[in-house]
Amino acid sequence: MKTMLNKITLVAIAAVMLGTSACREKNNEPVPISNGSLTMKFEHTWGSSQAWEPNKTFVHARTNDTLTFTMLKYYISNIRLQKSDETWWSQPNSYYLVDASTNASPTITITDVPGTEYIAMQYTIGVDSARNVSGAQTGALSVINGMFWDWNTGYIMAKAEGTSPNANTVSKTFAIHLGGFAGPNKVVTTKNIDFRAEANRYVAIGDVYNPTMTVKVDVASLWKTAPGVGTISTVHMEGPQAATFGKDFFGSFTFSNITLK
Amino acid sequence: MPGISKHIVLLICLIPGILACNKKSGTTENTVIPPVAEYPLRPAHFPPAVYQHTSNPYSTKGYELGKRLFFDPILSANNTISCGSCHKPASAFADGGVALSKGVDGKTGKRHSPAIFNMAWNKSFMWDGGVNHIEIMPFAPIINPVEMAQDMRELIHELNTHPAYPEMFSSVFGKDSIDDQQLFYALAQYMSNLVSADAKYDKMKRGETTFSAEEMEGYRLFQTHCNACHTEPLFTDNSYRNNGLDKTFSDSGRYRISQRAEDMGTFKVPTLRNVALTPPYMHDGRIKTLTDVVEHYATGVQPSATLSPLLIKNGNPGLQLNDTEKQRIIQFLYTLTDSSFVAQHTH
Ligand code: HEC
Ligand code: HEC
Repeated sequence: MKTMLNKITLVAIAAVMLGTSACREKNNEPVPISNGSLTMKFEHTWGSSQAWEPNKTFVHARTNDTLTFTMLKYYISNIRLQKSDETWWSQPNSYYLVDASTNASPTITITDVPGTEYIAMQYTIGVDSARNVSGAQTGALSVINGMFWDWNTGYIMAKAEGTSPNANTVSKTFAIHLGGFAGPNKVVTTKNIDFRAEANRYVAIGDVYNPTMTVKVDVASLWKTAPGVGTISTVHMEGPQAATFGKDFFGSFTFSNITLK
Repeated sequence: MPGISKHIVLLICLIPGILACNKKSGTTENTVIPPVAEYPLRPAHFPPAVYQHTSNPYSTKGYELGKRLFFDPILSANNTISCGSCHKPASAFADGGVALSKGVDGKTGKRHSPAIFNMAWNKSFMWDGGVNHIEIMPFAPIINPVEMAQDMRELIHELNTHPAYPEMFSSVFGKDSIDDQQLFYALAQYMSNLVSADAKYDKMKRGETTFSAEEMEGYRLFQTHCNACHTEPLFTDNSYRNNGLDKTFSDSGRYRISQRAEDMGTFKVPTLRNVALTPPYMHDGRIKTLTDVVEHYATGVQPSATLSPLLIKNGNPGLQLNDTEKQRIIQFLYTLTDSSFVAQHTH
């Protein structure tokens, strides 16, 4: 029933998009003046079509592993928006810890966005190297969040934990902790979204416009190329293993849609 | 224009100097324990410090708060262990003769507690250099199950509900409540200003005293054989080296962090300041006396793929020192003891 509805919505969205694809010029409405907000919603899937949920059991199509997730967290940082005059607004102190451990579609809200029309956006998955080498931090970056390695300084950019009968640990748990802020095994990934190309329009933020952008994240992509949990049940440091998981998982983050208001 | 602004900067810099002069007037020699410094201590014969207090401005109140926290067992899970339990001021903040320090419930780790001073010049922390910043350093012992085994959230809660800490923190940092950043900032203010630079060696360097003939000979031998790694004036070059303790490595040292083959069995070169006060020696505290350390360098160096070439002489591992040379080097090492530093921090 749910998938049926989803399909209908998809078709409807596609139809609307086709109808407007030629129209890449500015909105006809006046450009917003007062500050607004942009909400990012992270929709997790298992493979391309199945909805993902925490504490639900999935079978991986490639590795055949049976996996139940008890924790899924990652950092989103350094959010930037490009105005229609092509200048960039960078959110100050832009760090969010997205937690999908209890909610399949968590959101973060970027507030105090200067009111105007935007043509593009940039965000980073993980924490930039500067904050990994500058000592004590606060908020999302506080060590209290359990996303920081004490013995080998650096943020854990993403954590996926859970149980699997296929795991090679006595407790039948798996824990994939992805870090690496610099060097050949860096996992931090920057994403660019061109609103005109991907949403076929300018995005107004401010006044009555506080849009919500949906990003799709395929949790199964963690094992797109990495061996299954029978071979690697725990990753607890940066290195080639974390780099493989990180490249595949962070590579799956894709723009889905953005609402008008 | 740039000339004018330079003058203003100069003037501002001079003001604290003038104030300090006024305070000192009347006393000819400094015999009393000095009060807590009003600015970070940075001896003139030291290179610029790595830690610059950029986002954590130094204050005497901040230093005092950090000191109180350093010696407060509230930082550990069952309120029994403080930083000072393993880093004892009387031993230049090493663990007074203990090879492997005891944490909560008497648990031990596998590494020896290093001395804590001149930390503002450290480029990295821990024997393997795994920690990259003085502010973040205390996080490791606080949560380590064999050290303080503390839950960070619980600790911050305990501090916020403590009868004295909320006021002390707010008077230093001006925030409504205590968070982990303020805890780390306070500890950094204390640790980065534990500065030891008043040993006989320093006095000799400043022309306030002279070395005996034996000490001078030891100094020359030191410069020939040891200074490449234990580099003056901090007596470490902050590098990672294998000084030949083992042929195979139960503790992989720097390799654990870097995963590079050439780092297998290498450890951060420790400072030798106050070394006479900090036995036993090496990352696992395996060597009990300085005599044995020097004997190790003379005859005990073990060959391995990562052994530093500086410890190979004429194709053989070891520095091939004779008995007099060993004796002189030890005599020089004693000139690195800074009793006024110890006195200042044990009172
Ligand atoms: C149970 C004993 C113990 C306690 C308690 C303890 N430490 Fe340590 N400390 C150690 C050991 C052991 C090491 C070396 C660890 C390593 O290299 O793996 C160390 C290393 C350090 C270093 C690095 C020094 C260097 O030159 O690299 C600093 C700084 C430090 N500790 C500060 C603290 C602070 C601050 C606290 C309190 C929050 C604390 N320690 C509590 C045992 C302890
Ligand atoms: C190749 C570099 C190198 C040279 C040369 C060198 N050392 Fe060391 N030294 C080290 C390293 C690295 C350690 C720590 C090793 C460990 O714990 O595994 C160390 C440890 C020590 C320690 C123990 C300090 C402590 O706090 O545990 C002493 C004492 C010492 N060296 C003295 C000397 C003397 C004296 C010489 C010259 C005769 C010398 N070293 C030459 C690298 C060097």
